[in-house]
Amino acid sequence: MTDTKSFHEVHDTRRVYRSLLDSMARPGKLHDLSPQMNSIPNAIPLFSGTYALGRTLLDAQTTFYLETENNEAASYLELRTGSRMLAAERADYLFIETQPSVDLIRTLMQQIRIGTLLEPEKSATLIIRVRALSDSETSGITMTLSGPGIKKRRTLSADGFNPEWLRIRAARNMEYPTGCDFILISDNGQMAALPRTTMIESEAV
Amino acid sequence: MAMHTPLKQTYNYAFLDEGSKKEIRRATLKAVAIPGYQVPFASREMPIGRGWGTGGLQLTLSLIGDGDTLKVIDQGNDDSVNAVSIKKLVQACTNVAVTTDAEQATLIQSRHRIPEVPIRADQILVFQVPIPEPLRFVEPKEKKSKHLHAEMDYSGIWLRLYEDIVKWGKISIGADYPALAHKRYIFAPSPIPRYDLPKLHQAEGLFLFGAGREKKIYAIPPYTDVEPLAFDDYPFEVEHFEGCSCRLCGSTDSFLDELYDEAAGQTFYQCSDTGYCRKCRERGAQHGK
Repeated sequence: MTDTKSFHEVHDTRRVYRSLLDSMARPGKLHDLSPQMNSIPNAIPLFSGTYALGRTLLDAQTTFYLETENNEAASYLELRTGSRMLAAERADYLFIETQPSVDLIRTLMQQIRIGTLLEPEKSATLIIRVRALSDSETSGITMTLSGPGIKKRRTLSADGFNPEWLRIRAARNMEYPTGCDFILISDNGQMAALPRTTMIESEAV
Repeated sequence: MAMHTPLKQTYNYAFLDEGSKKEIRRATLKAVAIPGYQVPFASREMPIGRGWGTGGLQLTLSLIGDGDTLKVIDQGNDDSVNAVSIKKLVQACTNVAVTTDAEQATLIQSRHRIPEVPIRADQILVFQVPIPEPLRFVEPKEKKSKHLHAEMDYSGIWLRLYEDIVKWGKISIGADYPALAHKRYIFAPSPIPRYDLPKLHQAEGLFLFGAGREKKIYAIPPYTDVEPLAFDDYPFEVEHFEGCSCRLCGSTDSFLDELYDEAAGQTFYQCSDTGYCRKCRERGAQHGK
């Protein structure tokens, strides 16, 4: 593949995966994806975080949904991964690159798959771009997390993350083990996951 | 000229093709998000037989790369044929270092034991699992056992434990003792001794379980509740080794294997975790024991 400066199909996807796995295992813990994201050319019509995670997770067996302002983005991601863009209610992975309106968040969150009691793994993973992530209270919303993977409590602050996501997430994750899993990724490459098991108390700063 | 170059056929880094790795990785991520739930995956044909650790091996190969140090153990032993073969295979298709020291390893693949030294946050323990379904001995059909998990209908397995007490006066399950993960799924911890089961509860490390023949991946994330099934009046108990010590290192606080010397007609004990035993002896030698 000659589509990237040096984003390596084998080794960079593996590094992204190990960060992702540790993020899922330790909700709210920050991981730095910037080394991998910086190896992606600026000219691509996608957010480099979408590209790094897309290349790691997507292939012809999977489907995605992409919320973006760039018209070429979806077909670019299809071409690079072999995956197909489908409507939100059928997608395995939803990449949200924009700051959607409250109405759009509600619509998307109502449409996504949350799996069934028999097959809870057939549920959507949302990859949401935010402005910044931090493990201390800064601007935006501060979340106090608890649940599997967290020793007592952990703090995660997200700037540019609409609290509406969390409100509807709580409703859709009501009947564990069904639910959806969130991955937050910031402009500068900080990543944190909020799997369905994580209990979140949030407040705006 | 290309036509003069001999055709050299090599496998992909870490043996599996990237598509297979992706599929295993996606299943693993969902497994971590739903502790104890068995996520089906398309278990690949491996160059070792099914039932010889192919599930664990596929997990290891989906994880491993630069900066990793691998340890492989079989019932605690670094030098058993199965462990050595798996180590050689992984080395042949990656560039990673191997070790027998559990504290040096970043990835540990294990059959039927958890090392004596607790798994840290920067380590992952991968289990080889023969039978991932804890309900299999009360419900032989996969379709039905899946429904029992979905409805959290665990009366069958509780009844089996009760019948054990009626018949034997105690719960007779030794290894692979069923436990409840995150107060939701009963899972099979693989045939580790009961002694190892409490190590999964609220632990620092991440535990991944791979069943190659049965095509299932499941996980116990760090700091997750793992409760062995037990009754108030018949509590869960681990194996005890009162009065016994390892004949090599003298340990009295490790899991001991019982060995019988036929010629001498003697029974003796030895650490099951050979890496731990070696370190104990080295420490002993340093202190002039």
